Parts: sequence; structure tokens; C-alpha cells
Amino acid sequence: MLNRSVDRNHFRLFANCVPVKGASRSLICDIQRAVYHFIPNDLFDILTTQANMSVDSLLAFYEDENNSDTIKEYFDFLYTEEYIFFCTADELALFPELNLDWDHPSAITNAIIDINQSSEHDFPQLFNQLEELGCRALQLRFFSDISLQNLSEIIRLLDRSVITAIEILLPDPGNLRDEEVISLITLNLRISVICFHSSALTRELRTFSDLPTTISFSTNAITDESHCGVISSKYFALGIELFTEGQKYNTCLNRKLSVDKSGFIKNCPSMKATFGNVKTTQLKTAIAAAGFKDPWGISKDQIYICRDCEFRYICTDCRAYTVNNGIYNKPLKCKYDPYSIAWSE
Amino acid sequence: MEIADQCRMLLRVGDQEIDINEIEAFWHRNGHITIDFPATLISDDFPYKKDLFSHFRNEKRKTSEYLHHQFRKKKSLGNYFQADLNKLIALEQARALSIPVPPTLVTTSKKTLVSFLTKYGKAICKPISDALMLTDIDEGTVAYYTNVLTDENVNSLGDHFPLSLFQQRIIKKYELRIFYLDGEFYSMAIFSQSDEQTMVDFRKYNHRKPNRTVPYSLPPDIQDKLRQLMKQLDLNIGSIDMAVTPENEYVFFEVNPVGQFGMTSFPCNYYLEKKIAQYLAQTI
Repeated sequence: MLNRSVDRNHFRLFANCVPVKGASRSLICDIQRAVYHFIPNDLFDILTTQANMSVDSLLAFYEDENNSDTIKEYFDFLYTEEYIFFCTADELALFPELNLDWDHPSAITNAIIDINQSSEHDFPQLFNQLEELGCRALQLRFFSDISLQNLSEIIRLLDRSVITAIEILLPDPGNLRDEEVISLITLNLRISVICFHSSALTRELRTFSDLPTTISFSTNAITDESHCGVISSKYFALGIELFTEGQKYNTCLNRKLSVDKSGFIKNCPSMKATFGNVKTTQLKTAIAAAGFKDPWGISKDQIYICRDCEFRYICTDCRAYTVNNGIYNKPLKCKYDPYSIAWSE
Repeated sequence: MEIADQCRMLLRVGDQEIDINEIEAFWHRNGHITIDFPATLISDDFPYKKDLFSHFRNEKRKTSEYLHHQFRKKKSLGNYFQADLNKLIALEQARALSIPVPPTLVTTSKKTLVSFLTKYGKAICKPISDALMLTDIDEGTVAYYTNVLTDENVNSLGDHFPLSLFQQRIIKKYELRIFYLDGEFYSMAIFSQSDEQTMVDFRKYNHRKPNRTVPYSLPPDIQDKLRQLMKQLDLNIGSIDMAVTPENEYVFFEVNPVGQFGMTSFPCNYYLEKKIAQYLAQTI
């Protein structure tokens, strides 16, 4: 309100600050600055259904209910945080809402490859096929020991790749010297995350300001694909890509492809349906097979409970582990209840 | 190149050979095609060395001309021949279409500048060509964009100074960055005015608290005028800088024919890269 002049009697949310209504509270998702703020559901209604009312008429409207101080506080908050600006009635139409469509030129945007001691993956072959599909992000999950030497050889295959981010999980070989880890990463700066699991210690080694990689150690032993699907506020990501993708597509599985430890092509290694084995089936053939793309379109708006959750467009998802194994049920490993707005242990 | 029974022209890029006849459409974003000459060694005492090199240059120029002639026949985005657009011409043409432009002065004389300031109040100073980028190992790149001319600046000037462009400082409600593609406008409003750092030139980015950048619907009458301007400038793509004043006047600053579109496309979710691809892929 502070600087609101007489003629600027209307308000508009900046298009990249999108309110999302939950069962018991709402969020303003600030897509541009990657932060979110909780707001009460009445404020959500003001920002959406009453968005075309002038501030004065809004204040008058709530005057009757003796709430106008609250409304003034709301506007002060929204203005201070730069979620809204004041304008004239004529200007309202000049500021359209953000287009929330999502698209990507790649047939596959992200892939998971699982590896254990019995895996017989032909990496050069697999990487070539991922390249052809335009894959941008790759996760390699080693469930059993692999030497840094062997890992280097695999990573080197991606020297000139369209992939821009590689995440690696592997058992801590023990007695690792920092220099060994650094030389592995400098081999290929696409490595965005490297996590040593089954480690004797938990620490994060991120002292290299010139390296883009997050290096971490975890005492958890990741011995198979079941160590996945955890939903936590730690994994919330606020950005235009996830936010728009989440409107109509699944925030885990859309344009994802996985190769499990035995070489079976799946949506996710934890899911049962397989679409052939890499030994005999081309990845692009598997993608074209009936059913492969089905889970891509399961958006949060179609999932029970998730569709009532204010976090639905900034959250990851899991379709492998769901409540009662229902494909439209909320992730089993989500401990948030949007009705009581509480996280349980 | 070969002009015989059939006309053929081959371009070598790395180890790839491209037959110009096979190119149906191209997008010129920046840069130019150079014609390499094998190094020619001529002894220093050869009396006609200068003439010979000048002749080589002419040979190259005419060959480039033919290359351009070939390219002119193709469908293209971006005007290869207009990439180095003249800001002053663009201002003049905008004015002729009655698009408001800031009063502009190009001068080397302090006296002229002072009377301009007396008439128009505060002014800004900006390059007539492109931004000057100075790179220093320790400081990084320092770019000279648009700056407000202070009294101190003016006082420190001698009677004459290097050629400079001055414009009346326009009070902005918000700035517009408009990407033009084949008749369509993709506009973004930049709320640069609540931040001292970005007030004069939003490219002095505040990364901690970035300026709000949101999609904008350009009014149809402004669209019509800009469409005419782009047509006159022979551009089918370009990035237009404007500002909306508190009086709701749309003031034109400049058009960049090789402008970046990512800074508009990403925040407004316009998918311009897809629209560009679709334009080029449409059958000719």
C-alpha cells in the first residue's frame, strides 16, 4: 500500500509468483526467485477470484467483516515481498498470466542406470543410444564396489556428450584421498553430484569453489533400487521447468528411462513393468512400446491427496512405492499431510 | 564454387562439406563466413607487394559477394546484411512512424551539450555503436552501457570531447524487451525502477534480488507501428528495447537485430527456440 497512489488502485501478482491452493493453506511460488511463502487460503481467494477488484473495493468488502486490518497487512506483505505491484484498471490486461505449458526437444530428458556385480551393461552402446534420444541428465547407481579407475573409464565415455549433468552413487571404497575424488570430477565436469554410500562417516566435501560438484558421504548402504522414492521438503525444487512440467506431467517419470541392474528397460528400476532388455531391445524401441509413456502423464493433480497439497508443483514424485500400491495414490514415502499441514516421523 | 553446366558451391566446415544448394533455410544469429586464403609468402623486396595484397582483398570481396548473392535467395531468419544496424537510422525511422523516441544528440561540443541539457533536463550517455567491453584479468570484463550524465561529468568535460551520443533521460514505469519474430511480438516487462542499481540500465543485474520480469501484452496500435518499423528496417527477427513512461507513452530506444532471446523466452516461458525452429522448418 505504501506507495500506492490514488490512480493505481488495482493490484496484480507478478506473473511468475503463482499462488497454489492446498487443503488447509496455500503457497505463493516465486518461480523467478526460487522461494515460496505460505499464505492463508482466504488470501489465495483474494489473489485469484477477487483479483480484478480495486483495493478500495476489497477493503470496503472486508470492512463489513471487520477484517480490513488483516487485508491491509496482507497487501503490505505482498508488496514488500514484491509479489504484487499496484496499477490502474487499464493496465490489468497488459499483464497476462504466465504460460504454464511445458515442452522439451528431447525424447528422453533423464535416465537412471543401475549397476551391481552381475550387471553386463555395454556402456558405450547405452550412452550412444541416450545421446540419440537427447538425454540431458544421467544417474549412475552402483550398488556394489567399483574402483575409481573403472568408474573413470565409464565417465570418460561421456566426454563429448549432450548430457549436462551426471549423478553418481557408489559404495565408499574407503581410505579415499581428496585428490582422488577431485581428479575423478575434473575428468568430466558434468558430474554434478557424487555420493559415496555405505561409508564409515558422513561428511560433505565441498571445499572446492571452482568445482560445480556436490560431493557427499553417507553411512546408508544403497544396495538396491528400493532406496528411492523418498519425498521430503529437502527435495523441493522451485523453478520454471519443474513447475510447468508438474502441471500436466509426472515430476519423476516424465521423459525418464531406466535400465535396471539386469539390463531391463523400465520407467523406473523399482517398477515392475519391463519393456525389453538392453541386450536385445533398442532404447528407442522400448520407448515406443505400448504403455511405456503411460506414467508420464500422471500429474499431481490426478493423484489422491497430492492434488490437495500446496507443494504439488515443487515436489518430486514416486509411482513405484505408493500407498496400497495404487497408481493414483500418494507416494508411500511421503510423510506430509496437507489436511493437518503436519509432517509425521 | 563452380559456374558451369550446374552452379555449385561447397563450404568446408571442419571436416564436413556443405553444398550450398542443399541449404533451404538458415538463421543468422551473429558472425560471418570468412573465406580462407592459403598463406602466400612474398619476399619483402617485391616492389608490388601492396598492390598484390590489395588485389587479393578485392578477389575475396567479390567472392564473398557471390556467396551473399546465393544466401539472399534462401529463406532466412535474421538479416545477414543488416546485422550491424545503425541506431541513429532506427531512431529516425521510428520517429517518422510517430513512435516516440528520446530527444537525441550526437556531438563533440560541450557548448552544444549544455544547451541540450538546458532544454531537456537530465540526459544519459550511451554508445553509438555497441557496448565497449574491456577485459582485465583481475577485474573481469567491464562493459560500458548506458549511464546517467551527472553535473560532475559535464563539468569535467573540456570544450571538445570524443563523439558521444546523449539522450534525454526517460522516466520509466517499466521497461519492455520485445522479441520480434516474423510479425509476432513476444514481450517482457522489466520492473527495473525499484532498484537503484538497475534503474538506468537493467543489464547492471542485481543477482541477489533480480528485477521482476513478466510477460507483457503489447497494445495492438504499438504492435502495428513496430511491425512497420521492422519492415522498413528489413528485419524479420530482432530484439526491441522500449520503456513505458508514467504517462503511458511507449518510448522506443533501439532494436538489436542479433538480439538474444533467451532472456525473454525463459522467464516468460515463450519457447522461442521452438518457434524459431518451426519457422525455419516450414516448407518454403
